[in-house]
Amino acid sequence: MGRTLPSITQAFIQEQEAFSRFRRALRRGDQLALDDLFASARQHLSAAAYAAHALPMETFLLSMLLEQHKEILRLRQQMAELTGDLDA
Amino acid sequence: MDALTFPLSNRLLVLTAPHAASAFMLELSARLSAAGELRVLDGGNRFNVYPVARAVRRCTSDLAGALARIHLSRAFTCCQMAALLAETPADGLPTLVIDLLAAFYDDNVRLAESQRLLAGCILHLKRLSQFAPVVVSAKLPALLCAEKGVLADALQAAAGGSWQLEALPAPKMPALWEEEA
Repeated sequence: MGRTLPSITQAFIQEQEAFSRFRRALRRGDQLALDDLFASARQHLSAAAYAAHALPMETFLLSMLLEQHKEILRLRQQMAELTGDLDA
Repeated sequence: MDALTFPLSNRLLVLTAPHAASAFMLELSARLSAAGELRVLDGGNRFNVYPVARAVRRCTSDLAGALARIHLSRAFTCCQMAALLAETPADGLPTLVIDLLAAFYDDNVRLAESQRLLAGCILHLKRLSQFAPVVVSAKLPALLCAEKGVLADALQAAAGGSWQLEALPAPKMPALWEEEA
């Protein structure tokens, strides 16, 4: 008896391949940015597997947003530190 | 798809196609689940819920409700498929059987045994089709077990309607210049 459902990694690869034509039509810089987005979603595959959502792409998109927000928070903190240094 | 299956009537419809028309059957199960309950019997481990969920989302916003209306059973051997069909009550639910013949093409099962089991399955499919639509998908046997093509013939002969779907040829890229004849 084999698997009855693709693993989350298989689902991720299938979703990524579904956008291959979209990626091919992008400029080189945008392709790299898109690759970064998928790489950030890949970091949360174990959480996505645990979530067991019927539409895994939604979990992948949320993972991308999560990494984006972490980056914003990090940059905001750096900005605050820099402005604090300037005020002092 | 609409011309082929909607509205579904109480009869046994058999689709023969490469890959047992699994993409079509998944789309059909999604559409039916948006409307009401249905039963899916999977004989070839082809029911992938992710494409079904995507198709359901296109039909209705109640994803969880629609998925809950799909009653899925899988059979991994022809005996399991025969038992599954025998135990299925004729309760009026539409029934989709995906890749019915996959297990019957098993090399370890003799042709006579496959035929005997399939004859029983066909009886039960006909029983179910008296009260609700039954759509069965199957594929033709591989060349290695071509003698089991009689199973697909028997299934098609028993059907109230039979469709044979063929893969579309790969699209040809238009040439930049007209080729000389």
